[in-house]
Amino acid sequence: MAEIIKERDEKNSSLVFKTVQRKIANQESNSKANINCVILFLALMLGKVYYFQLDQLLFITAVLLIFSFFIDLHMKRIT
Amino acid sequence: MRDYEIYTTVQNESLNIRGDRGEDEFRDKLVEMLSDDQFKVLNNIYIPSTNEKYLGQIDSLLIGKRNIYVIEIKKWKGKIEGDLSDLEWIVENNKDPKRKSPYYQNKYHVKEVRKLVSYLLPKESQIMNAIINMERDAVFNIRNSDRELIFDDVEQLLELIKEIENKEASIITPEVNDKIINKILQRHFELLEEMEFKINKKLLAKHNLEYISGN
Repeated sequence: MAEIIKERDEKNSSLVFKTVQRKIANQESNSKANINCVILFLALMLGKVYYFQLDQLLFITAVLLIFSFFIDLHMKRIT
Repeated sequence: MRDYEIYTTVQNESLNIRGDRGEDEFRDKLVEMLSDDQFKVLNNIYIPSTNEKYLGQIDSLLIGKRNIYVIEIKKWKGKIEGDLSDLEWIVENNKDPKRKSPYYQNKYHVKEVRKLVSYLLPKESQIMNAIINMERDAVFNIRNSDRELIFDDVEQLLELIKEIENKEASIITPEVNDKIINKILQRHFELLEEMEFKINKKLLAKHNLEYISGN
């Protein structure tokens, strides 16, 4: 039988490289989790302002904050 | 790995997955049909590319008793038309029917393998360019006037290789065979390390991580 010396998925990246990739993936997932927390917090704040009709100025500030946050996120994705 | 995908020549993910399936099918058929253990197979081998941003890749490299076969595996559906001299073939199952000719693409792979191992090979040995389309749902219409190894039937290709290899006595000794394998793998790892170095440097800087050598 023909001997397969190297399989398709074998020996295509070093252990060091895999470790670095894993670290980077962890960092990315942590930063995503942080962003999700901020979004949740802002959404809750917005909901509170809207339903309890507190200060209108606070409402506008919250909207602007969320808007700028999304713009920033979008710009980061593009670059 | 995401970053390898960016740096290799394969950019379309769905094509990539189909291609991988074709390579696995080919590997299984090869093991089934080539019963002689003097056949050695290296799959997915990196070679330098014409564009320094990318890595070239040989789908399957078969070292026989007399010759070396550099095999490019495709899994293209539909009607495939072209000529050996064409830089692009027409695949009538796609929005953009023009695809780089695998024969032409593989010619470069053959050249790179020749550069690496020709000094080890006996004079009579050849490094052959072989193309196989593993897709059954395809009409293969390639004008092959030079009778190159271009097939859409894997059994035909492997039978022909068997015939060529068994026609006369073996000329590639097991020692030479080992040397060829070592040389090709050594180049594969050198290129892998170079590419990892590039990727690491860029990614580590982006994520404020310390540089780790690929060694």
